[in-house]
Amino acid sequence: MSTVVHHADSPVGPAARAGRALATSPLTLTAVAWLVLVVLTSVFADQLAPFDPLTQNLTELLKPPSATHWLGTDSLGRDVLSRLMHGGDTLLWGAAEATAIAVALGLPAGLLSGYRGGIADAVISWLVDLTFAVPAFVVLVALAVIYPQNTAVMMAVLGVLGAGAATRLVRNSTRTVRDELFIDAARVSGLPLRTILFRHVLPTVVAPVIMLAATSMAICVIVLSSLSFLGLGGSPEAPSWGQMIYEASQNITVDSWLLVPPGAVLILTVIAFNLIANTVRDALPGGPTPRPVRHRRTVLAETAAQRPDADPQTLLGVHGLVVEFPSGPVVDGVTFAVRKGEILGLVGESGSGKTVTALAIPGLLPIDERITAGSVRFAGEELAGTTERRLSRVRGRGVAYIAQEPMAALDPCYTVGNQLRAALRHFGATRRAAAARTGDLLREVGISDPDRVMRCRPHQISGGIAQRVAIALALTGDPALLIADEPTTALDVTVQAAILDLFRNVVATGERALVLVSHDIGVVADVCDRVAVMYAGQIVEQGETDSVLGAPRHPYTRALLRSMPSLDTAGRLPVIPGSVPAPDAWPEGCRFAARCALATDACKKGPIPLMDVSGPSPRTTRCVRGHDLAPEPGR
Amino acid sequence: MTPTPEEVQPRTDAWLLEIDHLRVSYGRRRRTHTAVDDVTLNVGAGEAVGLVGESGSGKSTIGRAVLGLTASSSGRIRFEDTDITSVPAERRGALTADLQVVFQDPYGSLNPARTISQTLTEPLLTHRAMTAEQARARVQGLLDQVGLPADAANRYPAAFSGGQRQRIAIARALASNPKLVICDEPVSALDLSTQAQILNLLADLRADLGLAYLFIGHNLAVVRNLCDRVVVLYRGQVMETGPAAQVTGHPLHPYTAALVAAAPVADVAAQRERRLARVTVTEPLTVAHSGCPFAGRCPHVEDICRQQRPARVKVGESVVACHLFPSGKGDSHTSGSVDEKV
Ligand SMILES: Nc1ncnc2c1ncn2[C@@H]1O[C@H](COP(=O)(O)OP(=O)(O)OP(=O)(O)O)[C@@H](O)[C@H]1O
Ligand code: SF4
Ligand code: SF4
Ligand SMILES: [Mg+2]
Repeated sequence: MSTVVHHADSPVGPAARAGRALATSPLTLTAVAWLVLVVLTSVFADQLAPFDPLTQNLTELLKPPSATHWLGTDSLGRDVLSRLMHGGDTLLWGAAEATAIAVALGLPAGLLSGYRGGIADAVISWLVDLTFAVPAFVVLVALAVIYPQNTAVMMAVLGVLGAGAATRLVRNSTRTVRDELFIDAARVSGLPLRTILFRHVLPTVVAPVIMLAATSMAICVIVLSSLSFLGLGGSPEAPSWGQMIYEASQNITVDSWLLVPPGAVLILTVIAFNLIANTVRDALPGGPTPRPVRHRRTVLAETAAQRPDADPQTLLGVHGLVVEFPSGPVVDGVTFAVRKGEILGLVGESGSGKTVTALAIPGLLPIDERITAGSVRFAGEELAGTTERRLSRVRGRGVAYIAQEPMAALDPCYTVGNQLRAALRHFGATRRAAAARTGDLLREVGISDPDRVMRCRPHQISGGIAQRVAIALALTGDPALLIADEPTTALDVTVQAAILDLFRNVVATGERALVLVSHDIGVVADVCDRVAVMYAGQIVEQGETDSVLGAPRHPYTRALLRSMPSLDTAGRLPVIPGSVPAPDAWPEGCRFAARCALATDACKKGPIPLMDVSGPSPRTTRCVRGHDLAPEPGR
Repeated sequence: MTPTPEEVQPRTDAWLLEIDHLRVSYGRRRRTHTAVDDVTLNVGAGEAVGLVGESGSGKSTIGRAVLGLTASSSGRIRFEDTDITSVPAERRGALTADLQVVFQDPYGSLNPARTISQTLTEPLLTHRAMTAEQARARVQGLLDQVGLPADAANRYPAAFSGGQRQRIAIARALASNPKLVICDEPVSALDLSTQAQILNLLADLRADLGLAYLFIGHNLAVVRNLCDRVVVLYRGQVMETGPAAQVTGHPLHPYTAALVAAAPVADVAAQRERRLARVTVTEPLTVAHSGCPFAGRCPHVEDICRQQRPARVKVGESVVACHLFPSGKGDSHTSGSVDEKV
């Protein structure tokens, strides 16, 4: 019965995602190729180099590139190419040593400190802070004096100091996964600590550690080159890039070419490490998302846009609205109207497009979603495709939006009174008028002690009060239309009941209207005059609430009502088989056909138009068998 | 006289899970917050007990304390006569097989980097001496049991919808043949049509396997649908306990009554009547720290409510903590102060 949903970019795991990102970016592939080349030539320098890097040829001093000396010769007549090939050796080994030590120390310390917390965390964090406080370069210079030419010791110390950063990174990643429910589930399964760490925690820190290692390699290469530039690196005999740069700088007035080969190789190597680090970081969760691939211009339904609003009481008219994501449409031809004094419910399951529809009305769609067809007429003005400037004038004064999470609408730093006054001032009230209106607004939304609430910051008030304040904030511009998206879902039912009463009062004047988005049919039954049922991006049934819920004329509405548990009965529920199809799996014909008990061949032939099944009140259904559904009670 | 638990409950056999005067506090020293405050409740073998209450009332904390994921401050938790109060999940050994969990969030509860079969075999290979071959067969059996196709085993969680992931989470809980499954809002994140599928699945599994559930939820109708008994929680305290039909049909405690009255039904005429009949309880600005936790919102509040924490009193088959039901009053056969278990 269950169909497996395939996602093209199924996020498998951070490590695998990072690996794929590395393999698919041409730039990063080039970086990897460069590093492989550098490492291979360093390892096989003895075999590959055309000359001995130390052999001096005093007859060929400071020669430009030629067929024999591809990169020329230096001030002692040594072959630059050969020196370059040999010069990466100490550098890369040293950097690898420091990085390996940093990871080897930082990984277990970070895991322990992040997973266990408590004292272990406190002690380790203190040590980490200590490593940050040590001036690494000064220590290295001092070491170079004590242990001259001993790169191994210097890099070991650099590795220990670098372990601080590695520990912190691993600790923070570990803390994030530690709170994941799948870790709790593994603990409940009785898995021992080391298994949990290895199986569930380690994979998520691998990618950040790779990123850190690449960055660390880049830094160590620079540090080591700087040291040899200062003459503090390895043996002055053995060639190294830093030393070559030093020698080139001595001859800069005579021959500036000598600076180019070691400089270029060094810079390219550092860039390559940083590129890899960046690619891995971008692939981590929270990294930038890929840019949307295609855009379509807004094509407005001319006929609808030009049609005068027939009913002067109509506040909002949405006609043939299509909203597309980069991957395709998610709202597909939605049409409805809201009159003054009316509450319209938009119900549907997740992914049916109700929130996108609600956001599209005041032009609040996220950046990669856009209206590609249809019209949104608000109080005689077309909002679809209009400029952001005009939209922002309509928002607040004309249309206000109330979100599910009341705290999101409130600024934690300011008192409730401050925020309300600021909003009122924004809409042009004088200081005194704003102060006076604030108390009235809070009373209007049912707050009995406005003076006290005004002085509270958002975290000091309960969720129910916060939603009332958010509604008051929405009312500051005296909007004609309120759009509320699941405004009571986060609240206790007893508080929800009070907020629904408040909504009823807000539109009771007859001048305002409310579009209420909800998945809760009970909420819709409580406050909505009319309801539009959405399924897979379309409205499938629309009419007055009592007639739609009492005698549904679409099989989906009917099945949904039947599948609701009730307070009076227990036992098995009649279910709708399967699940809502994803937008990329919408069939050509009726989108509910795969789950519909009444489906016939006619249902799958092509798009199903809305059918008028009005009785005493207007009613539409998107079902070829709409007339067959006897108007009997749906439950 | 104090009735013994045997008199209070129809189930006279031994309890599977006994929670006695459990208290869980978060935070340290002066900033402590008591999330679970003197909670006593039991679950019998094969019984489904619902735990309802508003957000933050401590439902999940009770479940986590039972699972050994959160430390208790005081009180006692016993599972099949073994005291597990201060034994964290990692040290429960073979007992973890009997006590499993399904979480609310179908996205966070599965490791995105592990295939379904890896997730499902994890508990199998930990405790049972099972060969990889046997484990594979068991995975197929589990997938079949929760209504997923066999080829789901080799996919990653990202390939599944919320409802399907919840089936996988249920399969993981079933893998070790548990006796009790803590269901922490397993359908709250799901769509209406998926919710019904999962509720039916849970009911079927219970009938087939004799599972017991501690079912945490905030939707009274959902809890009523699946559970034998319901425990109503408010601010970490138990307000009322009783048979599911009784609690939702004839609530005794004013908070339960408010919950039932406020739960909207999908019938416009019926909902209109319910709306007119209900007494609006306003949300309080401050929390009372003594007396009845509901006093700030209760339409029946009296002075004593603010001074004294009400005792738990047996009324018929239910137990209520409210001064409207004084321990001495009423039919002496059905009413009395309950001090022990409920
Ligand atoms: N890890 C924690 N640290 C501190 N406080 C916590 C922690 N977990 C929960 N709490 C607090 O304990 C109280 C009870 O929380 P709990 O999660 O048990 O409630 P709940 O009834 O499950 O709520 P919900 O319906 O939102 O899931 C809340 O006030 C919550 O803020
Ligand atoms: S059009 Fe056909 S498949 Fe679609 S809802 Fe109506 S009867 Fe069912
Ligand atoms: S004890 Fe008092 S305040 Fe609490 S529920 Fe009972 S009557 Fe209301
Ligand atoms: Mg919870």
